[in-house]
Amino acid sequence: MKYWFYILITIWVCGACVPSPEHVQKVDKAAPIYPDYADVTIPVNIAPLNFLLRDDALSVYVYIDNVVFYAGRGNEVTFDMEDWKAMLAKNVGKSVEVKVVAKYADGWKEYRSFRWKVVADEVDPYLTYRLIEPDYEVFNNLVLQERCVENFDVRNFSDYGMVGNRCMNCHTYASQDPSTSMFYLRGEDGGAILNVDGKLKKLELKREDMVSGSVYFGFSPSARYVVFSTNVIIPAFHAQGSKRMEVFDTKSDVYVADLTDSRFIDSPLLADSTQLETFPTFSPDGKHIYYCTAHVLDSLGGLTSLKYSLCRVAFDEENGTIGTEVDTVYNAKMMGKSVCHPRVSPDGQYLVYTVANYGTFPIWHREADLQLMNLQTGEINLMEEVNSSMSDTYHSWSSNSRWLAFASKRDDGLYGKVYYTYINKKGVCSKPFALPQAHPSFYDDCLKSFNAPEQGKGRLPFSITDVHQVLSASPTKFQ
Amino acid sequence: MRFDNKTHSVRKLLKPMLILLWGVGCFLFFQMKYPYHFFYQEQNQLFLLDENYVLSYFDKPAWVACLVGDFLTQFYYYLYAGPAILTTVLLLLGDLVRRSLDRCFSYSVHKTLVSWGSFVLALVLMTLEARLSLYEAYRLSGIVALTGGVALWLLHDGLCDKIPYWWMRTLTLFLSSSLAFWMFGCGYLALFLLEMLRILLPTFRLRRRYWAIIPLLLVALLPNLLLPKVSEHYCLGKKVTLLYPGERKWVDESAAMMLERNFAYDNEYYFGHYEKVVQMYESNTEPETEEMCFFYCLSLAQLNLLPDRLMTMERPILGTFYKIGPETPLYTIKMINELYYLLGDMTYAERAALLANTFSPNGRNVRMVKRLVEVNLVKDDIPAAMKYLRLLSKTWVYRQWASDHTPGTMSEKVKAEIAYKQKYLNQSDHIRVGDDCYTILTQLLDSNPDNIVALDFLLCSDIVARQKKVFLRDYQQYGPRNKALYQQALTLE
Repeated sequence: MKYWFYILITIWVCGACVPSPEHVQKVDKAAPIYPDYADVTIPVNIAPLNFLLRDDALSVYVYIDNVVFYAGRGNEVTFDMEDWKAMLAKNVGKSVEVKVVAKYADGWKEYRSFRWKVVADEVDPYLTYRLIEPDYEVFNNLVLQERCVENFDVRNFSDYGMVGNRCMNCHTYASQDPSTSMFYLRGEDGGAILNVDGKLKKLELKREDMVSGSVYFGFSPSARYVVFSTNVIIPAFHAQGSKRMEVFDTKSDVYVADLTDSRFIDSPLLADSTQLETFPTFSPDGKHIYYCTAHVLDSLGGLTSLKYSLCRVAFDEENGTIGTEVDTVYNAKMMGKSVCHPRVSPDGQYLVYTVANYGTFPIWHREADLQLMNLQTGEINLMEEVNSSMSDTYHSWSSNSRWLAFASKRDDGLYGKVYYTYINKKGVCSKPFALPQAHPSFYDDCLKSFNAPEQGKGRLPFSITDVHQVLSASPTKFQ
Repeated sequence: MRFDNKTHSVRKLLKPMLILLWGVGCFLFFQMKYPYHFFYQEQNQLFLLDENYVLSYFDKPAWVACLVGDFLTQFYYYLYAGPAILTTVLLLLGDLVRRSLDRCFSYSVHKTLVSWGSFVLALVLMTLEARLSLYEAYRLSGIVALTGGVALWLLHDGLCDKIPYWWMRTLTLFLSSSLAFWMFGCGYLALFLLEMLRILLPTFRLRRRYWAIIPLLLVALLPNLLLPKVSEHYCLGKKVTLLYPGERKWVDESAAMMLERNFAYDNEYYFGHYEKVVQMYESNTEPETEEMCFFYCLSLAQLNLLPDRLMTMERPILGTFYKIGPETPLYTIKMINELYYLLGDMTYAERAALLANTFSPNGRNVRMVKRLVEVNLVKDDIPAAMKYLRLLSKTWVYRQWASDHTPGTMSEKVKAEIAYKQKYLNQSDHIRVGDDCYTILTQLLDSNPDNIVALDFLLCSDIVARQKKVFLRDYQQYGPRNKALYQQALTLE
């Protein structure tokens, strides 16, 4: 018996040991790692960038600055959390060399090394997003999740299992602050769910003369006001090519809701029936409302010429009044592109928006890219280091204005994933990296898109049960 | 004496023989009368041999039951495997139930009566579960959950025999119940029921040992104590959490058999047995359904016989008048996927496949994932195809299929199929609101006048809808097509 025990222990120990690299052949090509974490800038507080080798590697060694940092069997690399945190803390402000050496049936290979630049500017520790099948046309089993990006903790804060199989979308913080945020639960007994210090309240952000309930929205800096759009949305389908689906508005207007006095504030400039106004957002000083606008579509045939300009109108937070003059920030006619999802950085320096060839739904537009505008100089950065040949959209800023999270379909053109890019004070962007996951094969197995990512400074102070309970509450009506 | 021995031997063999008979009967019933339901269930999931995927089973209750059930369900793909697996699991459940009941009634002096009683009760339960399995959405994991609950009770009871203190037995019961709840979901109820029988029966009979009910009450309280937190943890309603994983439903037998016939047509078409579908339809004596007619039409189109036999049908269902929306049944969405793939409109085929995948249990349907591979290969969208091929390459059953479809290792047969389909792709882009099949068909024909399948569906739809003028216009624009049906229609005009 004892004899067998020792044999088993020996087999187990031998099985667990990773063979040391020997007769390593240097190959002049990039390591086939997925997600692509080569030459990226990362924040000091990010979770380990676990990856896999897209081939039949038997064992992998990862060296950081020529010191073994990881050794393991198989083609997946999952770093130890404590080692990772220590490595980041030690190398903050520096660039480290990462070398991948892998064993194959025909021997060891050392790939061309790459670098990780660790910066002291922290990314906001939390991220919320919706997980949805990439079709977007109909929904089933939706969840809204909150992920701590400093580790791999994730929780559903709204889940179909608890609130019924209803549509839910767009969780947005007020100034990245988890104590005030809002999202929608659609359907019967639904509404806009407002979180103030963990207390949930259901709002009915709709008036009879509005074309629909609220759709896209943003908070003012004081969180007293919410600017939102109402949209009549039509889905359509392409006959050919990669775009697959097209969604356009036949009507849309913008309004402001005063959350303190439960009243709507409107302006003919933002609710013009001959114009489509959408994607409203406040500037971080609360003095302007940025939004996108285009002429109402005459016919479906004109869809490819539907191009939205980016405009702004003044707003007075003290009196709750909308200005009387509209500035055009990005002229669609002149630029030949259509703008959507404008978001100003919290420091007020930059404005990032998505441009596509036409329309208002860039998710299936492969040409859809992010652009960065310097609000002081008006200079536009095309963000070539950041954009891909697939759709790059739905971005959100970190509270320190240095990190931009956005959804990109760059891997397969179908499933959106969250990417982070670093933007320094001079507006220079770095190559983005995918939100790291505990299991490197997570994205391969996942059949959901990460939609509308939003960065938050802390954990949301409410639970899934609170969301379930607020459904039965009476909504606050607005005048 | 010899006679007695013989009688004894016969008695000894009676139970195994009855079980054998039941097993053979069960297997034969499902194999002969109900085989296509197994294919349907197998297609309604996507089981990956992947650590990350397996760990995802912890996200929901009854992880052992679901893991075992889904693992076994993937083998339903193979002929005879579905009925064989189901029968085996039912036999295992029956055997464990029989043993458990034997233990529950062990205080009784009527050993033979108890033994036969347990045996018959086990047979009844097996038959009941077999009957419940007629419901197409009843997963194998539901039966595994019950089996697991009963097995855990047997373990617990065996342990209790060796434990002298009542408080330790109570603790064991509490632990086994919690384990049963965690690993087997609704299997917890089986454990509770057996424990109730074991404790209550001797208690009432002997009119003493009332204290023995205390642990039982404690365990009965377990769901009430844990359920709110557990349901929040799993993000499920309390009722769903308690009854996880199996939704049991007593379906009407004739409706189930009708569905089985639909599945037969659907799957034979899916396997490429078009002649068999035609033969099944033409020799059918049972009432026909829309689905049967639809797959008959699709098979006729595959065999280039649609216009020849269209008018032999009482009610031709071409599928061209179907529309997809949030209320469309899953089965119809899958049918539309087959229609558009056959016609050559890859946008709508992909849309239907994505929707069918979305509305399948756990948002995964292996048949639709395969279709998404095909659609994207036809569109030459290799990154998208690779997304799904990577998933399929992690399955036991479809690994080879994935290899045959992966660029670089693609088989010659697949290359030819893809190239054939690519010939009929839309050549120009249009934006279509809704799924008006007439527009879709005319756009396909504008792109490729040689798309005979699309032409037949267009002209046959005109005829079925009795739109003579439209037929004439379409025939003039996209014809000619030398088929008697069309010549007749032209003559009528």
